[in-house]
Amino acid sequence: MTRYAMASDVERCLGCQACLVACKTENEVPDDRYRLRMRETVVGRFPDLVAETRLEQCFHCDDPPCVPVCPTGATYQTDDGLVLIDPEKCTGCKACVTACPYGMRYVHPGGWIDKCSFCDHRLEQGLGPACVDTCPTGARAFGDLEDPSSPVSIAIAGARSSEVLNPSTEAEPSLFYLNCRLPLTDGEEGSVLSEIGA
Amino acid sequence: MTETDLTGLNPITHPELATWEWPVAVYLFLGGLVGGLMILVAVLRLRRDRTFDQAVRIADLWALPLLAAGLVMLFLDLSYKLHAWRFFVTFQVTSAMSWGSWILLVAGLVLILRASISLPSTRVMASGRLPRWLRRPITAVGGWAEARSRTLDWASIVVGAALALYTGILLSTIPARPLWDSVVLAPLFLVSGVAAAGAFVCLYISAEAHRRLIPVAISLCALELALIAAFFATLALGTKATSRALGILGGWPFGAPFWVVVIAGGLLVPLSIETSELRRRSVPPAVSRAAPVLKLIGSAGLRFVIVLAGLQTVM
Repeated sequence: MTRYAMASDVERCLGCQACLVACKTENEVPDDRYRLRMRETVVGRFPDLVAETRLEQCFHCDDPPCVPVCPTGATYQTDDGLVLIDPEKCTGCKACVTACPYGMRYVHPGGWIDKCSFCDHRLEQGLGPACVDTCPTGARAFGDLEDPSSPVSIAIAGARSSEVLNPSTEAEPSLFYLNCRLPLTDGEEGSVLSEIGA
Repeated sequence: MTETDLTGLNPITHPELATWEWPVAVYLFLGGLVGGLMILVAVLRLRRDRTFDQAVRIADLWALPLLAAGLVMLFLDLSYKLHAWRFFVTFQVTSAMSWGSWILLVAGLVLILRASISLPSTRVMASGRLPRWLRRPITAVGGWAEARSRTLDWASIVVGAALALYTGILLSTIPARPLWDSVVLAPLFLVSGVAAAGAFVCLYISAEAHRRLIPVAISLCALELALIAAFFATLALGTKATSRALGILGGWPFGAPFWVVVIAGGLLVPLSIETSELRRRSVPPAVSRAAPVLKLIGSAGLRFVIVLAGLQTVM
């Protein structure tokens, strides 16, 4: 069975934000709202600095906490692992926003909840997600995790390290960070939300 | 030195823009209060004690508008209000909110039947100010419901308990917010709801009925304090995330309201006033009347602190 996943090679990412722009354009994401979040971390004391850029978005978790809490079935998981939202069924109750441990959902100005869909409309046409296809350094890979010949499986197999963000959530995210030099935050250190005071 | 820059922030990443806002806290308070009223009054009615007739009538007439006010709060918090009807065309077994929607509907039905029994004895009905087309169905439904009063009382206890418990379960089934990750939250909200209901009827009943309810009120206060202690224990002994989340109840802006409004003002002060009354010490009437008001404020404060502080805690 297909299980869609994405890999993001932190070493290759330049932080050019082309993926953010591609996502906003492709998905007509409204002003002041984002499906992707770029995080730049600099650690050390000049001149001994390590800088890393990481893209965060809906992780299309294998065991998504946002799905069971939805009172209308608007948030659902497809057989191939995508976690999607049907705006027609959404009431904007925000249970899923509250349940997402990564803070990756937002309220669309139209009232429904929105987030990354791995560009499911492009997948239907045989294309990759816009953020993957636009990346100038090939830092992002996408495909079927169960298929060893898919770009995402090849990228993970060839990486020095592969990690997911905050595994203590036990949600089993489907976005893997490759070749990180800085430790990914986890429950011990606090996620991105707690770091900025949320 | 670690410096982090974030680009692409949504309101969710800003602490001041919580996902659920104050209407949800008010809704949970009103849900607990109505659930408590349904349980308390049904028990009083089943005891067939005429002392509490006034309390029963007050609760029958107030519970429905309070439930409606809670629903208005829930509606206010929806960001896609045109789709509110979607709650009632599906049932999602894993979603506490879906269970809650249907429980609210059943509770509303039970309360309409209860109100139809008590309405004919009110001054509005007796004065004949209600138009005939409205009076006749109320009297007919009231007569039908009164013949099944005992069944309705048992239904009130079951549905009221489900309603009050659901207000806690709604939060505790969201593991992403570690402050809510406690099995004690549901029984705590249930007991707090029944205690608030007792305080609510005490605002209206005679001094004699009030005096007879004091042992119940004291027991509920003590039970609520024990459950709050258990709530702390489950979080402290839980995961690293839950024990870390407890810290939010120790400082500003949530610690002070929790300890001052909920614990001291809402539980300890009323407990000491009611204990003095029970021991037949002289308590000024104003102080005696203050106890239920403080309890209601404390009960609402509990929901506000738990909801809003919980939203600020993450795994």
